Amino acid sequence: MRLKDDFFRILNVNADATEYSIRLNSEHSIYHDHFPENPITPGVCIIQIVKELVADNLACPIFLQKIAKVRYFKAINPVETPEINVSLTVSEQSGKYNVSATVFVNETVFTQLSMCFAPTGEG
Amino acid sequence: MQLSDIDVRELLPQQGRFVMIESLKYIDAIMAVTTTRVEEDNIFVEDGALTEPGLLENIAQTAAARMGYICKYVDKTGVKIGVIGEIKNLVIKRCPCVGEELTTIVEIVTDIFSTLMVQCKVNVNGTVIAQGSMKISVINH
Repeated sequence: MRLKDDFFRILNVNADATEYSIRLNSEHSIYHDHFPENPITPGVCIIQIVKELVADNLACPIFLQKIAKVRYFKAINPVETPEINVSLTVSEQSGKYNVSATVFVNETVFTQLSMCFAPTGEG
Repeated sequence: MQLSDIDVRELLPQQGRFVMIESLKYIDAIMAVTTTRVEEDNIFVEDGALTEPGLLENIAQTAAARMGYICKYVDKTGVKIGVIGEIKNLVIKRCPCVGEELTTIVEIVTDIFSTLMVQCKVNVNGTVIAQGSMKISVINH
């Protein structure tokens, strides 16, 4: 399932594609099941959102090879906090992409991610 | 009560199409094992394979099923909502294909203050396709 333009959409992105503001679709079926009467953005979907932003940015399909560390400091309720910001740093090393990302709103950090992706087919 | 008689949906707060485990096979003081066949209609299947969020959720729900089992059958309370608190040093070798059966093993590292820390491993046909560590935290509502 591709989440972009369904589970979330991009509201704004800066010129060098390092800062995104996105809007979560609180009506999405995922939120009916996670959890009934209590919508919380699944941690795995935050990883997928970052993956899709990076893949679009690189214009190539990628595969999540390694999670160095992902920390969820605060759960994201899509009704209370539909708009979130994602900052991204992507660096290439030996054909792989190290990605650091932070999901935040103003001073509140929800998630910090440090992950390594490989182009699909070379995983 | 046999584990095979338990519907995993009774042990999880996740419902409907977000359930990413099929059956609880084994549970004891330090580990839990689930098996799951990758179905074509899984929401995280793309081009015939279960993508990374589906695989990660399968691991998290294996740990959550253990928490749910203890809530329901040991403590006799309701199933609580648990969320992923941290994922660390987790390596994915490949995404499993539709039709393959995952055997997901979580070993408890610590289980204190509503936080469960596990070492996890996903096998397909005896070969490890993903492993690492994860923390699941119970949240109160």
